Amino acid sequence: MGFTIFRAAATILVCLLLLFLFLVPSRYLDRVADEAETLIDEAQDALSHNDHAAAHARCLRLVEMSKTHMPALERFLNHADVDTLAGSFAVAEAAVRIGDNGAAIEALTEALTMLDRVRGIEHFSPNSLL
Amino acid sequence: MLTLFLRAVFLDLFVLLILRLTGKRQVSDLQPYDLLMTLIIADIASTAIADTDIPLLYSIVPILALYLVQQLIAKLCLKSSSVRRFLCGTPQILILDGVLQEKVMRRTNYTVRDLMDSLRSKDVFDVTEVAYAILETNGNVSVLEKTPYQPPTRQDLGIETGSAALSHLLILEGKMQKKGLEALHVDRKTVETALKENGIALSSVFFAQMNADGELHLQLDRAHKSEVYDLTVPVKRRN
Repeated sequence: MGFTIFRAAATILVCLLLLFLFLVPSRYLDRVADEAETLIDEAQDALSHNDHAAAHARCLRLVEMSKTHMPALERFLNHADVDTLAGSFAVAEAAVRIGDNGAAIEALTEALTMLDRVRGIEHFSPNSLL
Repeated sequence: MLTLFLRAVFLDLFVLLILRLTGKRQVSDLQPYDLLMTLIIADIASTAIADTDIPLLYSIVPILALYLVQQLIAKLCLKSSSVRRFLCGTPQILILDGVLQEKVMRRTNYTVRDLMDSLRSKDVFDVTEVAYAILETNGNVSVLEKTPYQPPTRQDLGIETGSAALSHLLILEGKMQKKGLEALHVDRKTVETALKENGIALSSVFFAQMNADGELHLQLDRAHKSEVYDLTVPVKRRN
């Protein structure tokens, strides 16, 4: 009897935990990804106007963001993906610093692709199911 | 390295907990579906143990999902016999009154050699002695011998039998076992008195077991040459 109750309680806890894991990490990822995408768009826009100071400021914020949020993201995303994302921010920042617009835009585009990829992993879609 | 070690320990304990919660303790208890589930769980857990690039959640979530599915299926099997039949199959009669059921054997892919192996493992060496051989859903074969070949029971022979008394562990390495005392409804003092009357110190007892009839079998520790005693302890009979 005791074990049956324990198992029923465990099953309920498992359901709650799964519900938590379905909701919380994806919301957190959304928040971080939205913020990163805005910064990337702004940096790309600034680079297209040759505004290196603004682009550098955005890239620095991206690097800072990666340091703040990446440990949390690594709890539910593949570490290699998160490292690639953080690496793209760092490359973009370094490229803007030395004035290499082409490399910076390439790194930022790669970061956008990686953000799409991790969103695709975390968010449910019939395509990702297959 | 410590990370790998701790991940392995954590996932091992997690899998242990999940398998314990599923309620099956032996491989022989498992239905093919349960066995498959166990293998998948082990495989998922091992992936995250070895690869530190993968978050632990990548193992934990699928294992929890499999656990939930397994619980759901177990509940459905309890509620519906048709679901149980579909998922677990039904027992199949392989031998009926000494005759091999060829059609059933072909359907279940059970060869004559397999059947003979199973019969021998049940101490049956002649098919004609078998009344029923049933292939159970977990793959075991249950055998009922024809009446003339069944070993006689004590009842058949008219032998008077005592009660079937289950023995409980009462003393282990000089320490009285509370669970044993409770199970046998005997108090500590009664056992100590019985030991004292036979000149045995509790601390010298390596192992002792007792049944509901009060038959106490004990063995002293090595310091006392591992001597063995059989005593009787007065116990209250339960009706």
